[in-house]
Amino acid sequence: MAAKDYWGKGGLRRYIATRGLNAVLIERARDGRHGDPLEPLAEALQHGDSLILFPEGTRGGGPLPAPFKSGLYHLAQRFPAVELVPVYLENLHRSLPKGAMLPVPLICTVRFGAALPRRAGEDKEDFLMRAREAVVALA
Amino acid sequence: MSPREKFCWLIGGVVALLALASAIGMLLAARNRGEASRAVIDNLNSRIRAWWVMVAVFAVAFLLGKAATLVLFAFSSFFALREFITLTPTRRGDHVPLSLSFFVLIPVQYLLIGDGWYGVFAIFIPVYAFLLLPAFAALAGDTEQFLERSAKIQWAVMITVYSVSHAPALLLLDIPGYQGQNALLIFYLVLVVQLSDVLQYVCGKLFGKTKIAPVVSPSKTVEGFVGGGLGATLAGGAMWWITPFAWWQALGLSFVIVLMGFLGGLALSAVKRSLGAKDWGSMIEGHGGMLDRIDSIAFAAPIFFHLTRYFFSA
Repeated sequence: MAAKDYWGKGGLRRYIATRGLNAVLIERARDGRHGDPLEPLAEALQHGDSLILFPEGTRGGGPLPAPFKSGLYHLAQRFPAVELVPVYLENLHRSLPKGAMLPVPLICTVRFGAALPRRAGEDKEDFLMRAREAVVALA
Repeated sequence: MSPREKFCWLIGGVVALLALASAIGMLLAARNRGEASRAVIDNLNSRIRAWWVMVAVFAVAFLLGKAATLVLFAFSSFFALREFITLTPTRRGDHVPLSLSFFVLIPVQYLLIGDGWYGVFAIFIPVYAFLLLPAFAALAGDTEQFLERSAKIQWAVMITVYSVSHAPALLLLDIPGYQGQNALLIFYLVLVVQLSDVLQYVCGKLFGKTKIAPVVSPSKTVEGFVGGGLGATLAGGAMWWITPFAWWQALGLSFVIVLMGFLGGLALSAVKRSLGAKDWGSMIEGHGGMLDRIDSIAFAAPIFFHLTRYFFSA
């Protein structure tokens, strides 16, 4: 999935996002929304597709992700059978930081963790904290 | 003998040597029973396999000519710089100087060789990049550890781009009676350096007892250095017929190459460990990263280049 306000702008960007990256675009700004912003994601999951989520909702400046937004929690609630696999992207914040035009071609590593176990009755804050810690543990 | 014939003899010799090494590797693997020695033999065999690939790439670039040779070394610099900067802690403010190092300094440095512009080739990085890289970093406005960050980037560029580029820069030299054969000097340099590394590794594994600098590089031993260095120096002397040198000059120069290569391995091993790593990367199976393979070339190439230029070029 990708941000509609960035990837939906302009023909080429939209083409790369939807055709090249096969991205599901979602609306980030509150006032631009009609109905449930997670609906396109839910639809993809119902079709049996896998989604790559960036639960912090934006790019940060440091090596660790910002606190997670609640979208992940709501999706996890709706789809209890979907596996939540934590992934850490090493060196990406150095290779192409926010606002940079050219990348620095560093060696970037993708690390996958074990699927996050579901806990019955866990509240939103605890769940989001635990999900973020699972990613941080891979850093 | 024509340059092409000399090249064929050299490649024939290297292929024979590799075939022998592969046979010995297979024999060792078949006879081995111990659990501990298996790791060493497996690593030896993956090193030999990687050597076949490296020799093939090098030989093809060589046969394709000057442009391909420059592209090969430019990519070697690119991958080595990438490994160096990946392990080096940098900050957001270093982004522009780093991008420039990869996308401007590397192409320009090798284009200057292609263009035959020695005067600028020799000072482009030590003068222009030296002054401009920290200036661009300063524009980003981050003073945290500014001198350390600038120094690290400059060190990385000097080693992986400037120093390494002196191997293909041998093409620039105008040596009386040796016109059109300079590519053989690159081959000579690379062969002596790598032979020295390989023989030091073999002698070290067979006879190594006294460690030279155990903290910096546990695999470097006095026995390995003396045995391997002597072997590579003699081999370099015996290859005088592909160079513009007399046999005793070739012997002397190959000794310098071996010595500088050894010091390069040692110094870069210390840098690597100060950055908290054992290998620079993992792109060459059994060897580690690109920089693990060309650290000795980075130190030997500039000295070999300047000695040859001073004493032999017109």
